[in-house]
Amino acid sequence: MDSMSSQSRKRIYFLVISMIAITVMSAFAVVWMQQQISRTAQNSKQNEVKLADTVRKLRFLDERIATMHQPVVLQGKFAGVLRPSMDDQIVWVNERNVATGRSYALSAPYETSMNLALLDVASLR
Amino acid sequence: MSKAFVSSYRASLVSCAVAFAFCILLGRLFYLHVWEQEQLLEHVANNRKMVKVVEARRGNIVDSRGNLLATTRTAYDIGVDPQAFREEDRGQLIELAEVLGKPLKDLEYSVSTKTRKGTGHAKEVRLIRWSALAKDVDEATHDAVNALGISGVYGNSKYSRTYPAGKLAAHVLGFVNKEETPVTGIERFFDYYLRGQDGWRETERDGKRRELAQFREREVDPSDGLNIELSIDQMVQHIVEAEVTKLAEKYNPNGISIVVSEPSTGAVLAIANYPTYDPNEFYNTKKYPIDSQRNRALTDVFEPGSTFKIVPAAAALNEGIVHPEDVFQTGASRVSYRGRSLLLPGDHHVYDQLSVHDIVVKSSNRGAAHLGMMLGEVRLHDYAAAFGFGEKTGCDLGGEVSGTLHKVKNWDGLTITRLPMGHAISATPMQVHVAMSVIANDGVLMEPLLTKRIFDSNGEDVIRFSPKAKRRVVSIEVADQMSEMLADVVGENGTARKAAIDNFMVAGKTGTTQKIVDGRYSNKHHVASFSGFFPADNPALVITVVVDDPKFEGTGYGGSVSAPAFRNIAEACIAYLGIRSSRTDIAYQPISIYDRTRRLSN
Repeated sequence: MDSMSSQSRKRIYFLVISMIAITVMSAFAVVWMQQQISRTAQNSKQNEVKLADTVRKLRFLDERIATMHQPVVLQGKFAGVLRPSMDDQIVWVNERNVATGRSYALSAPYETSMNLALLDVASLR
Repeated sequence: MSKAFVSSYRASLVSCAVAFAFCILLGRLFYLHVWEQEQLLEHVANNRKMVKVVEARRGNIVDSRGNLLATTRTAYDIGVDPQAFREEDRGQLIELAEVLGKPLKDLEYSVSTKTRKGTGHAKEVRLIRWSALAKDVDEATHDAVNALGISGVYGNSKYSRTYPAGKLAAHVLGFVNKEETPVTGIERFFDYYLRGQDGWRETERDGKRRELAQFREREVDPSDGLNIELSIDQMVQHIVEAEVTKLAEKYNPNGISIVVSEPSTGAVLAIANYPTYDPNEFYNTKKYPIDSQRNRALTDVFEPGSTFKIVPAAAALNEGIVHPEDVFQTGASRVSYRGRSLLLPGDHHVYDQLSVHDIVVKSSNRGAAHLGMMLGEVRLHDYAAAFGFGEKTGCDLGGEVSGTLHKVKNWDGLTITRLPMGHAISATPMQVHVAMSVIANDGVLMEPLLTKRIFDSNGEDVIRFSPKAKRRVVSIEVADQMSEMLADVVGENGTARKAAIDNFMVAGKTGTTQKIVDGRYSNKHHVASFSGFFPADNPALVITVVVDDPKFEGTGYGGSVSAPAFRNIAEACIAYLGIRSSRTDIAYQPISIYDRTRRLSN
């Protein structure tokens, strides 16, 4: 031991301290990495849950839309709103009465009524 | 330097005690790490690791226009952990009761009951960690419960099958029961494609049973079920079901079946039955008896009666043994057939003579019997079989029956005169429909097409079903001749005047069958049917209406009960599908969907 020079001793001390420092830092780095992995995994899981929630809500919306668009529901919306035509109404649908007592509206391409057009021109804005 | 006195006896005793303690510790360590290692490791792994099954979502069923008919939604079972419930939240139980629609006292009981007796030992008491408050609640209710923020109250999600259209096409769709088992209809027939494949996830959990996502080891995503597109059109189905409801209210029958299809492809646009049920409430047998779940169009048989007369008429024409204008003596009640004197069936109106054309138009039983005798047993049987009687139509719905077409060797002496008028045979409404479709489809028998395709979540086809022609039954010329005759059935002199539609040439055949009650044909109980198509010269739709035992003053004839229903459905379909008349002899007046009488009746 006595033969070991002070310089050699310093080197050994330095090496030992470096090894301890590296070991401690590596340990902290491993812990830090584990934390990062956990955090990333948790974030992924949260995103996964959020995505599943969104998809679930979209499907719920789809179901609601499908329910609301049932023919029975749509027709129900008009129940009581439709009324017989009146003499002073502006828009008329041409009808054809048949012997069976049924009336059919004549199919025609949509066009603005001439009366309605004149009415628009005359109106003040 | 003085030394403390230590008794050697005491020192030995302490040393032995310490050594003994170490021995026990080593022994315990040996027991834990070597002796019981496997079991303990397994125990730890079981506590820490978990394999979570990720449920696959069952596929959707949509109509031909993509409208949802059956889908899978996320439902929630709402419950409370009484241990986690805080007393300061008790005031919010009133709101929770309103949201869930449950009595307040039930909720208070659930949150207050914190323990229960164990099942193993009577004295053992266990903490309650979950007490159910409501089952199968929807997303909106679950959100409302969460918004209340009551500690310990939460919901567990699960998949639940739902039918947004309610009763619409119930018999076609079928349903999935509470055990996730498909019971009937498309749900059962295409279960293999609809159900999907569950996934799984191997992961770890902490002491509070929360998943530690960073320890996920293996993960297999679930493969959701495929979707099915039907040939059913939701609107046509609605039109038909609305008519079924009207018929049921008017005639209070035992049952009704209506089928609408395209003759050229066999694509079924609607199948409706009465009584019906709501697949969302299949379990409610008080409201919807089990009997109402039967798809009568495929499972119930009846004697087709006069609708069957198209078979001997078309067969005789196809064999070239008669011409539409050939005349038969239909005044005599007895004829000689192969050395035997046979009693012919009676007609409502006795005609001395009728042409083949008039036999069909006037629906003469005797005339049909003459045609049958001209054909002979074998040919009559073979043509009936060729028209699809006595065999399943191949509709993708399960539960279908074949009906009865007896072999010739089993016929009795009168069968040759009774079969041509639709007796001594039983058929389902679908079989009658398919037989009429043969005439509408230029003599070719098509297999009913109920499913258009199976597709994945991206909308890509997995399987596409094409129209399937089974066989040619009669020639095109004969089919045309039959169409003309059947068009006259709906004419002024025919039996189905009430099936006539303005602007359109309609062809069809009525049927009025006496039901067998106590072994005899009843004069009071009938099956009224009408099967027809339009436009007669270029058929777009075939519609069959069968009403079982309409309660009617007098006889419930097919012409007076079923034919008007046919007309109503046909008119609505013309407006909805934009079917154009091919008649050239009248000024064409297109019918618009804006039928005021129909709108106002809503």
